[in-house]
Amino acid sequence: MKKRTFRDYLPTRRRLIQVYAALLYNANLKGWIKGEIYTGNTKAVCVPGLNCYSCPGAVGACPLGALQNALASTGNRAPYYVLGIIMLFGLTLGRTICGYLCPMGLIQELLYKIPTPKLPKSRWTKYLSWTKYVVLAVFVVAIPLYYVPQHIPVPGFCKYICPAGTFEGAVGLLSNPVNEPRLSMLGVLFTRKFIIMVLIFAGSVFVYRVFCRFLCPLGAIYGLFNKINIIGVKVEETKCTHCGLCVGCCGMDVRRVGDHECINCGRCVSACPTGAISIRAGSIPLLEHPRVEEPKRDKLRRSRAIAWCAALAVLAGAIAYFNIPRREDTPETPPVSEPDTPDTPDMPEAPGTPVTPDEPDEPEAPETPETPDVPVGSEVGMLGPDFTASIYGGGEFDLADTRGRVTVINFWATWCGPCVKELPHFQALQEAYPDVAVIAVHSDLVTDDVEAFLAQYDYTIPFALDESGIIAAYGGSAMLPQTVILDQSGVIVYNTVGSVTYELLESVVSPLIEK
Amino acid sequence: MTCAYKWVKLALALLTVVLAAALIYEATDIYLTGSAPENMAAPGVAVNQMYTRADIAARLRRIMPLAAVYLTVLIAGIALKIAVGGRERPRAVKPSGSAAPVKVRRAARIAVFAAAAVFIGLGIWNGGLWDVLVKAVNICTECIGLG
Repeated sequence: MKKRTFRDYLPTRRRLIQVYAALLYNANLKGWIKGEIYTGNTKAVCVPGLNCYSCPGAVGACPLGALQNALASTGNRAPYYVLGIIMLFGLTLGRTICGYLCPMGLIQELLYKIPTPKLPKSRWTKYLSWTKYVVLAVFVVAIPLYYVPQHIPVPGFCKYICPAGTFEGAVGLLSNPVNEPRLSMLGVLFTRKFIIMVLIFAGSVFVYRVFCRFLCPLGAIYGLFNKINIIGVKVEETKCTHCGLCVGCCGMDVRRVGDHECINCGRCVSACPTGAISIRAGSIPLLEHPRVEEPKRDKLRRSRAIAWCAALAVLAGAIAYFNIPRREDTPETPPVSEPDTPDTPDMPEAPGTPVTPDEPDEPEAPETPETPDVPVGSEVGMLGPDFTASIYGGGEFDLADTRGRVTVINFWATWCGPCVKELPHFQALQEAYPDVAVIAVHSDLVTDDVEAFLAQYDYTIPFALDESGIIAAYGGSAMLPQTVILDQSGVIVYNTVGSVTYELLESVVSPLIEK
Repeated sequence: MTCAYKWVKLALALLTVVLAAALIYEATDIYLTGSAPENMAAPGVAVNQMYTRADIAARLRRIMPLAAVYLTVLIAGIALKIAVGGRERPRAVKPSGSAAPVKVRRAARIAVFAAAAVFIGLGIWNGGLWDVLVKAVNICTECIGLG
């Protein structure tokens, strides 16, 4: 056994790069405080590692989530952009991304540091390492493609497995007290994903990078590029004695250095007795055996110091850019028509749960209801802000015209899987209760031809586009679907983000009609 | 010292399993209680919210003593690990497979780079970039397990 020195316990360069990448991907620090996600243009660009874009800190898109959604949209357009980005990452870095630039890898490696008996790699773990290709084929490719004919975007891996989504997205967002009302959305899906996350994290304590080795489809994709990646581990065949120490010291299920399982971490670089292994960017050496580096130590130290200074400047710049408020960040008041009621109080975005509102003095005749003396706003018990919207196929919807009738407003989008899935419930509600006014308002973010989309169905409910900030006026933010139900006097009795069932809609609407 | 370290490692392994089991039990219990027939007015219509802040906090408080014990043993384990020191020598494992020839690698790199550049260009042209942005700036409720 070789005695360890204090230096052995200091974070390695690789660990610092991992922490750096995790910070850079999640530079929107104010998102953690506000409990909101970043909605700037940088999110059109994918980051190389697995980092959920619903994480409050995320400033870029997750390549795996983007790939699944792009595959789910293949009915409309081919997923060229995401495939191109992934190919570019694969070509330049391959699985070096797993070793250096993935926050999930960092979490697992830190958990593996907990001193417990460890499960060594064996021929069984080598067999199991092929599981990630099955996960890739089934959850990332087959499930989104299966739902393409039904026009329902279903990101299979994100929905059923991804621990990054549960940890960064769900736990990250919902641990903020601001998002307390969103807890009402948690159900079987969250419970299942939470259990999977706990199992993966607990497994990481005993098995080195359990998720990366056996489950991660992104690692599986990057592994395909590992033999041609530009930045990664390279072996000088002339120096190699094929002693096998490199494969022996590796925690992954590699068969040889640089194969599809190799995460290019560089552990084998110092283990190689002949200095045959190095990490290179093309022909430029980035990390070599300490014995090889020794003669050029000063030069290396200088260039590494310059690289770190530049990297830290980039990080500081990114944190400043994403966190210091700019003038254009000031929210605009949505241009919704003003009702003749008292001023709107501060509009919390939190929707409520189905409750019977504290009724204002209701007029005797429901056909001619008066506007109740309650403030206008998005919360349950407030008067729903009036709006007008152009209906697809012609005509106009004016909320003021629906006074005297129960009104159901559904906020949806073609790119939102749960939204598309629940549309039939609103159609069924309209058929069962013809007196109820139902309208489905599409988000102002349009990726597909909404009219062409609707032409494929026989919906008779009116569909409109949110051109005047209706969703914002009803407390909506970056989460869809959202359903709002107003009683005959226009007071909100239900306003919740998340999927609804027909039974739930009926349980709210039916008592209102009977009144 | 080495013997103590071995026992601490075993204790930590056991505690890890127990802590994970406790978390899984609490999550399952919340779900089963919330979806029990007496809590359902109709299919999909729960009388009470399944996950509430107060309930989660109460359950976390229940796990807290276990987490405290875990943390204490973990600190002891790390201290012992440093005291014991030492590092296993890697055993040699015969490598298998072969690296791609340099010429093939170079040709493949050029082909992949060209394909990636064309794909990114096409993707920007056909609106794929906008698709990624729209998905990323909206919270994917399904993706994070909210449903």
